[in-house]
Amino acid sequence: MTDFTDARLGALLADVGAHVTQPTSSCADRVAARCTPRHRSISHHWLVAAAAVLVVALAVTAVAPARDAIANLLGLGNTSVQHVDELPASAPTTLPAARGSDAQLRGELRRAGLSAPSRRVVGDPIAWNIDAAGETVVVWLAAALSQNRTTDAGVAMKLVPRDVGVVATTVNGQEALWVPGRHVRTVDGTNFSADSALLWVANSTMYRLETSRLLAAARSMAESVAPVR
Amino acid sequence: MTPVPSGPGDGELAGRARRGDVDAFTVLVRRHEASAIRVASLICGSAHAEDATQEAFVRAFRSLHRFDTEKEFRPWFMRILTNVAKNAVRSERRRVDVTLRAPVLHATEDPDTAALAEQRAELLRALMALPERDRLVLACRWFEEMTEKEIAVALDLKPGTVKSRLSRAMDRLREQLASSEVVRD
Repeated sequence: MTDFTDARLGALLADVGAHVTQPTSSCADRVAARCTPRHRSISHHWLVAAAAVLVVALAVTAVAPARDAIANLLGLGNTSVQHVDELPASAPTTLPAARGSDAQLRGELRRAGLSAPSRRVVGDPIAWNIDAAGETVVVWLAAALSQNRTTDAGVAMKLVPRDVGVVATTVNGQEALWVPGRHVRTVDGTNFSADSALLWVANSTMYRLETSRLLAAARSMAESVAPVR
Repeated sequence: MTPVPSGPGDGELAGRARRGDVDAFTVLVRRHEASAIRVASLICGSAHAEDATQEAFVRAFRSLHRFDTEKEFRPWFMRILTNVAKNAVRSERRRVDVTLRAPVLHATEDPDTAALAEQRAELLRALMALPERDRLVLACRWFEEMTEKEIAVALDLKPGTVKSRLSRAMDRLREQLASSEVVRD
């Protein structure tokens, strides 16, 4: 035993390490619960928001075109946006494993009805994958883009803190919504935590780009993968 | 073909977490918790490794303002983890004065690998018989495949000290194994 080489002994140690018992569940959620600051009382904000909604609602009943604007701010395509007092517990969104070369990426994007990015966002590499549901996901270092048909059954919902304003914007001239900051995305009854998100509809396809960047960068990324016409 | 990253790097995630993005930190937790459990187990035993790991991650989150996102996250976090795990051992001794228990290995149901499992257990016993600082440096090198530079950061040592400590730890481990009849080539 005294003549074990470092390599041999190291391999045996690595094998031991690989067999150290691991917990049956991750501690990530418990860590997150301890790291998340407690939700502040937003009763004041709620009252202000409620008053704003009341004022706007009155305006909607009086002016027909405004009704469409309000409806758009409360949702887009098959995704509705709902303001809540407190965000529910949610699982983190895991980005798909990367695969494929740039050439394969362009081919898959074209088949999915997306144009290839005209340029990479500076400093952001691109990874991509087709998930189990057949949804194309293009991933930048700071953003994830997914797309699904607007006729798909199952409306997705975004739960947004009461004091967060959803912004109406555009992507390549198409109507879009910007949901800033952390919120919860509910899909088929399952809650996923989400970063800021840009939503838009083009060619009957709902696009969602989730990112830690600000709106200007998100729009730039989104407009670089506008659907092929 | 150039490999494409599977997601944001540790530095990017740490930067986002530093700005309050707990979800980004959660990704870091999931990415490093298995490694943390392995190392913590060698310091404070399997029974306390999970608590030590969780506490270390929380402390790391609260210390992110001191972390340079251009540097490697793993060795920086490992330093926090080892301190937390060591404190857990010291606390335990003060309360109940027990010796460090060995980490628990997976039970095997395959009789053909029972002998192999016994060899692993024997090697683990030899490892746990070493001083804590030897166990730590060996765990960082062989469990986690950290470089000498990373180990130096994780254990707050000079790189030259890492090399010599590793060498002495391996020698002491061989001495421990030399007294065992079970581990064979």
